[in-house]
Amino acid sequence: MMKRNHLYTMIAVAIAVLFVVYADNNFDPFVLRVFNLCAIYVVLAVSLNLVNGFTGLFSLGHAGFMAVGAYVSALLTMTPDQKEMNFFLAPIVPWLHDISLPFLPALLIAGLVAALSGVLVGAPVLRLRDDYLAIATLGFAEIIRVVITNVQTVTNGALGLKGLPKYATTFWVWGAAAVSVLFMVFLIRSSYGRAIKAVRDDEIAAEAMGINVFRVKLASFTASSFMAGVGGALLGHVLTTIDPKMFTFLLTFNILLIVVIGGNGSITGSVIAAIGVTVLMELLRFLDGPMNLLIFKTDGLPGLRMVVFSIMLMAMVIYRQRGLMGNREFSWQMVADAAALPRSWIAAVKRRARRTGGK
Amino acid sequence: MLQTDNVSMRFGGLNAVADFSVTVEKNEIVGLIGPNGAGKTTAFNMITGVYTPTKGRILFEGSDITDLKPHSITERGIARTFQNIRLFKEMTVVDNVLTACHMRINTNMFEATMHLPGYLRREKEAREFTASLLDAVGLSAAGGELAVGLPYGKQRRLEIARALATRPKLLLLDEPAAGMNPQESKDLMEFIVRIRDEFDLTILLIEHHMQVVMGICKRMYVLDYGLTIAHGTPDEIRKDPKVIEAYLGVE
Amino acid sequence: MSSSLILQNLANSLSLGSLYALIAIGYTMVYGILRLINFAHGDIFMLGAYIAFYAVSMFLMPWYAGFVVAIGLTALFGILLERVAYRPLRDSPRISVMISAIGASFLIENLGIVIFGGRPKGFPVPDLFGTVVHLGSVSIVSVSLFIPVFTFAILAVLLWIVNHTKTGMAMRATSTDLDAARIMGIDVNRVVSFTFGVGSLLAALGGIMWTLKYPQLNPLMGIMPGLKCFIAAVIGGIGNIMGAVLGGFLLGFIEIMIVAFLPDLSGYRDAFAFVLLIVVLLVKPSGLLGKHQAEKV
Repeated sequence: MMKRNHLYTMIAVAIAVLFVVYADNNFDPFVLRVFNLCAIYVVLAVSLNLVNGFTGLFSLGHAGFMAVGAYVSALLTMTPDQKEMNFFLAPIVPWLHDISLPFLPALLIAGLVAALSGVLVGAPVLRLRDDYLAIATLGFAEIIRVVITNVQTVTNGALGLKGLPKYATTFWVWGAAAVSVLFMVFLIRSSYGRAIKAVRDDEIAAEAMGINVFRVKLASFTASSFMAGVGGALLGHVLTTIDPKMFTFLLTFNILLIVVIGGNGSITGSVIAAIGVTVLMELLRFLDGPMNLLIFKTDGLPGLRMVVFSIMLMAMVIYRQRGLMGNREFSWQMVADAAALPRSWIAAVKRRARRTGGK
Repeated sequence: MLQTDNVSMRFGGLNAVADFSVTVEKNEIVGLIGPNGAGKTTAFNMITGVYTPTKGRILFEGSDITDLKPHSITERGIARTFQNIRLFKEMTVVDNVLTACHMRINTNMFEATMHLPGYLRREKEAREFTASLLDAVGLSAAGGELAVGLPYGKQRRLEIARALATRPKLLLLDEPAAGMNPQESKDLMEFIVRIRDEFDLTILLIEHHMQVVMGICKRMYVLDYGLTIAHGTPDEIRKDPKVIEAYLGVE
Repeated sequence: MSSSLILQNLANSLSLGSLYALIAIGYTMVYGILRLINFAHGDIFMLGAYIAFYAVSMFLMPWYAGFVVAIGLTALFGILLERVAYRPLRDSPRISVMISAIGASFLIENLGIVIFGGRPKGFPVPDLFGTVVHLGSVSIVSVSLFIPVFTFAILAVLLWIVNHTKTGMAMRATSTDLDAARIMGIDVNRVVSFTFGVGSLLAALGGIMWTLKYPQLNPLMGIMPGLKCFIAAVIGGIGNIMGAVLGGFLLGFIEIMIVAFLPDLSGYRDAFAFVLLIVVLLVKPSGLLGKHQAEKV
């Protein structure tokens, strides 16, 4: 049984890889972009779930760490010429002017700087609980954004950066998604993962079992910030333009929506929901544009799409708090059970038929 | 082994525990009894570092642990159970105990996630130890169940197994017999003596009902309204007029 | 530094601070009763301003009637919001309610964009509020004089309600222990509705005053004042009405003074509140006037 499951897994991975190759070669540019955004949202959702779902900390600061990652990677990879074109209001500081790194080191440094800011933010605020933590992390994200808007000579301020190298290809983003998911799976299955979940379930008991709760929280928050930074950097290199307005609370809201829909504490749920929500966001884009309904015509209602997503979030939390997956994870057993469902329904129908027939 | 010097805890204007001084010698089973609200659990919370005493010192194996954090105190070798069971509800029975092994597995996020060989070896040892602990408390068959689904008595035993997984020298049990019938509590007391011998433990035990612990404690302390009103052998305690008054009220 | 400049800035911070205080009271009341950060409070503030705008400019009501209608409708909306978005989650983890509140906030903002349009609108300020008054060397828009008066009048009424009426007693009981209050026969749902009604009423009033002071409306106008006033409530000690007022004034004062005397930092204006919040949370998490609550083990 164990061996057969391994085989299934290998086949599934092979199919996934082939699909990514197929998509990269055959999807038209717009669809491919959405496909790649899905991967980035997988990275982001999984990382937010590490903090919110597994560690039980309610953080609303994800957009801040993404901004850090996006800006670091952009500034490290852009050519001096590109930088000069962007910084026309005030010249860029000299030490950043000539740096131009390849993608991988830039991406890792982006993650590390985001992780470092995660430590700096986390060390003071992770002592807070629940709603206080939420508002403090939200506050830090806003502070990061305000700072980015104001340090003109480093970030180009409110103008943002244009012409980022388009490094984040299909393979990069899906590779990053795969690494993030694997990291999470291995982490959660390890002793450290148990410690993380123990902190979520009962801090006082965890502490009494010799777990350094603060250190576990900080490690989880830092790892999550790293992934958020990488996710932000990838986003920048897909869109090729970044500015401080991208990284508002709305961005955190989108990721939170994914985590809640997928299920707090389910990696599988986050992956499914990341793909589902990203696709839906594109599919529902027509809502914001002009519409010609049979009865009346509208000239475009920007905001309508977000209305749908807000209602979705509220409905989810009111009617199905545990999300799609609860805290369960994918297993082949689950597939087998699902496949067996129709058969058991048929059996039940037959049984009833026999019983009524016998009467 | 454990010694507290005039340890006191004040909440606002309330003296929850005042001048609490106990000594516990190695391999003893010592009882801490008293009516509801006498400050027994507060005393435990001070020893285990959940609260920092407002006054006094706590010594464990000769070193001062008064200001240490709970996890450092556990690391030194003091483990506890909770009065209102605090298991990790969303985890299985096995994972509850394994979680308590985390400290001794002594790993970091990177090593654990990468499943490096050193970590895997210690994880395997922890799993074996967990199996033996579950066996000792009679929960081997329930290993895969969620902790929250266990019946009450088994939850209490799981809490003890989880505390043992930290490899303590001193075990603090907070009303382990709460909610049990006389026969069950008698069995539990025998079980406590057995684990003391098997794991070479020293035990400090909170109990609400005097009779339950009379049989296994050589010495006990009686708390009432935060004050230590008596200490001595069970016989001495039984006859002490202050204890009778505290339990029965003044006639 | 001339004394007239200092006086001018003091007057400005008094009016901004009392505006913050007014909105912060709504946060603090709801938090006191339900332990919930009503993320949508700032959006209710926006709603109040818009309803007043439409009442005056579209339905051509006299301003005072329009304001009363706006305040009344907004209060009803607040009550409705609690029914739909928060009551079903009364016994759920606090985080779930908070997520619902975040959803509600985005919902109102985007409904605002759909219904009112995303483009900013100018508010027709009545002459009574829009004239510039000169008091010695200080010149000030008349609405800035009304705001502190309103705030203090409302504060007095609220404190009287909370401390001297039966409803106030029920509110205090519910805030101490919701379940115990229910067992004691208090109609908790009524208390909660009342609280949301009053909180939203104050938000609407705040919204109207805000637009009289800064006469421009847009559907996202509630976000920043909302966050800042929540911060004011936390700084003062959330759950405590006097604390919210204190926090509001403190925040208004610091913002105005930093911008006035350290103009290099004015770009960072929106970050001051958050920095202050984090400092307060770290130094005294229960806020200036809040009481510390120990967790039971």
